Amino acid sequence: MAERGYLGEFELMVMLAVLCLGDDAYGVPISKELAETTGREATLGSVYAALERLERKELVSSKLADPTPERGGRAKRYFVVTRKGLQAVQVTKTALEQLWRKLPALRGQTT
Amino acid sequence: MNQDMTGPRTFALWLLRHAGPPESREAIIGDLLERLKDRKSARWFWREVFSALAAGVRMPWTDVGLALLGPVLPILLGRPLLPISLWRLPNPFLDGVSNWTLTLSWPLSAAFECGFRVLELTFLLTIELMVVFAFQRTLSWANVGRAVLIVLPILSVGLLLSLQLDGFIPHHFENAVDQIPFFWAMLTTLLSSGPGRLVMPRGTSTQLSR
Repeated sequence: MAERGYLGEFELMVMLAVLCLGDDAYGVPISKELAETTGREATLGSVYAALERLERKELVSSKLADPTPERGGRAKRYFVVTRKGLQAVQVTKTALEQLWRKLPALRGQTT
Repeated sequence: MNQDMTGPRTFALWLLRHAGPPESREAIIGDLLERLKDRKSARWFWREVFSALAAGVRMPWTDVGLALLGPVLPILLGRPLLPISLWRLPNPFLDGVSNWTLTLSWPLSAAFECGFRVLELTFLLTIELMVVFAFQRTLSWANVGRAVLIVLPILSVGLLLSLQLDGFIPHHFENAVDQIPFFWAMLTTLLSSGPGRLVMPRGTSTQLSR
């Protein structure tokens, strides 16, 4: 992914959800955000699998917070989009916009 | 509040703790417990657990390979591995214990024989795991203790099942079926003790506390 510079559909949605949530980007709000936006519930397993792929490519970074009793003593893992991740989002957005511009009929229907 | 953490759900969380994605298993369990407050259904819960387990299976290929190597190598070589060969050399103590169990009446004799066999196999598998830990630079008393605690019950259940299934499994597959508990015990131990195990970083999380 890092080599080709743009993101897959699900990875892009996860990155955008992390950006939207800001300081509150951990598993539960990310999956809720995706469910509200797409109308389809993404499982926590698939969200974390995507986030770990993104982290290996250094597009996001994560930190563990302190454990809390309401989560059975488990820590939240907060994610932040890195500078490299922001560039990847921008490159993907540009590529998608260029493709959309080549489809005037569809663009007319959606706007 | 839908937080009945008994029975199947406890088992599911145990599965996640031991076979979930190493880097995020604790965070996923915490998220699951948090979402259970939203009165989520049992179906939702199990879908999440299986999804997380599937996500974990894709990652630790090294552990899966090592766990496969343990039981498969002796079959490929056509003879037991070195620790097993050494263990089977004439040994007055083991022979004495074995002869003593024969003097007992049933069901004590069967219980002691099975128990002794499980302890013997646990010992041998723990030695194999210690070699793997040494290569992974994760050899510690904690990991060896964890290995024994995981291997012992899995091999016990495996031996009991194999006794129950005796005669029902085609002869050609008996060897392969006998290896399943070894593979599962080794994989579970490696997943919970290997280098990918979640370690809480110290002093890095206070600014993010909620």
